[in-house]
Amino acid sequence: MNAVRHILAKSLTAYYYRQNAGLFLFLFFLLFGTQPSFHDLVELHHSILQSILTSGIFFIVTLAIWLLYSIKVISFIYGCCKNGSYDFLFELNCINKTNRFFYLLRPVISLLTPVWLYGSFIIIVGIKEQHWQGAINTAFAVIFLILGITFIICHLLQKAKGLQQISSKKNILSISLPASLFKFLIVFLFQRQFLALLITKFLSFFIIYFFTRTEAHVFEDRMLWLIFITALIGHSFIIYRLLNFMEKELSFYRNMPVKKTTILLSLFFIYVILLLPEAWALLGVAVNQHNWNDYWWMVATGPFFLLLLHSLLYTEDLKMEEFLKLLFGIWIVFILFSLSNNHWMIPVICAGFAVIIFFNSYRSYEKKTAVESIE
Amino acid sequence: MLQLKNIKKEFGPHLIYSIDNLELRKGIYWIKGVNGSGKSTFLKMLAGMLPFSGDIFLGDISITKQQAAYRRKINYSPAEPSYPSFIRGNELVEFIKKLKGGNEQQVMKIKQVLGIDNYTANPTGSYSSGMLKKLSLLLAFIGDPEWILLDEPFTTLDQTSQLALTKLISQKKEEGVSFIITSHHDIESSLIPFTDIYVMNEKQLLKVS
Repeated sequence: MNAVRHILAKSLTAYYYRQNAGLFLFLFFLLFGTQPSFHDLVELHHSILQSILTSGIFFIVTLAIWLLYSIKVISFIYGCCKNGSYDFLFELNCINKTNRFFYLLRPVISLLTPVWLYGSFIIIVGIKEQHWQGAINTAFAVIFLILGITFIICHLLQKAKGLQQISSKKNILSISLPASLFKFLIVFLFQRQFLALLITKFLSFFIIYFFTRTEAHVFEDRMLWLIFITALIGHSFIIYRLLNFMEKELSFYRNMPVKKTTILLSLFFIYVILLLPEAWALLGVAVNQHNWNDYWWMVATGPFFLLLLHSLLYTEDLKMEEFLKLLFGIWIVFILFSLSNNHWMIPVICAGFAVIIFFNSYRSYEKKTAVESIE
Repeated sequence: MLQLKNIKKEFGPHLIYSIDNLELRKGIYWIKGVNGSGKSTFLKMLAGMLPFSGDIFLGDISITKQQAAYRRKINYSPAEPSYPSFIRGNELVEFIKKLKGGNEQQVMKIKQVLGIDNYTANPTGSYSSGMLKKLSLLLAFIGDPEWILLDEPFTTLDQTSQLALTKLISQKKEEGVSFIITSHHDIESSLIPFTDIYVMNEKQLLKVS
């Protein structure tokens, strides 16, 4: 492969998918893992595709989701452009605009794979079932997104470095909160991870919200626990980034005279705040299904579960791939727990293990540098 | 010749520096200045990495009008280089070679002078700060630049490598390449024959010798 294409694929495409593996796992489960059989899965997606092709509102909703995803892609590239370690990408400015555009087109197509892949299915069904207008609209939307994002990225490569400026604007959070680990983490989450947070919360909130409002005679609490635990697992990439932020940019904090309890409590309150939308969405369990017990156990499980995932990351310096394997194991274990009638056990187990693991591993954690042997 | 016309660089409401007219003929220039005086910003601006008002000409090539042609003629090595930790040095070398038009022979020669061994086959996350610096210097010398901008090039280098770098700069000067070097440390003038020395002071670039 051409050296330029190779480095763009490695530094942008591969890095992006590795960084967002948790989110994609979560989305994959939502889209393809909730149906009992393959036949039901095909039926579900066929009806979704038909709705997109025939209903203007459905098409607009799909477009809105694709736009949201495109903003995530742009924001990723923008983040790279602002990151000093990606300065080498600015060397692309020494080739002419047309070549630069075509060099960047390929990574954009790769980054937009979820969009054009689902778009292709819409077009195929549209052609097969003669919904010509819907198929043409979809094709135009996909092409427009791919070309538009490539153009924006070309522009960003020229200009983004200039956005590394001293901002004269004061941040609201920096005024209202005293300097503490809690504040640093809040600012990191709500400013630097805003889009990732928005997408995760959007999906996690709505799936829980709609499920809890299903009619009482078809409501199944084990299914809700399955969805809830999966939604919590979907937060794993935020936890992973939060830990990386703490250990890289806040590494000085390890030198501060701060008790482990304070750090643990800061993390706990962060996760409580993070799960407020889900706590509200879960109200349906109490109000519609009249199941207050499960409501409180779920509300308690949320932050302790995320705290447990965070604590587990301190046991070893896990790479994303290893973390995903661990997540899968945890997911299975907690699904099994949720099948029992003693749901009170779940938050108790999460809290107990989170505290024990955190206190035993926080100080012994060390970030390793990946040294690979010379080929 | 590098010509700067009506340059003004601002960060938000803060004026960093203002240069009405500056002509730098072929040679080696040293820009001094205290921490935060704007030396690195000045080099990044010359490298085309930061926007500014005004125009810069390399001969008759304008940075604002012939963006690609300008950038092909000017290479830059940052003060504190960093790269994605999972990218290998060799991949970056190939990337720059492709864009700037260097060749393997040239790379081997620079590697030899700078004392860079096979570590470039490893991911950059495993490099020491000195190794990263050498990699960034190697990348800055690749291709056929007319000007090379070196931001604090001697920082983090050991004494042997510092001498090797001065040798490389002198060699390249013989080949017609010009340099702008920033440093807040004193550089031994006998090692590098500076054409002129400038100081970044009070938002101005002043010639001191």
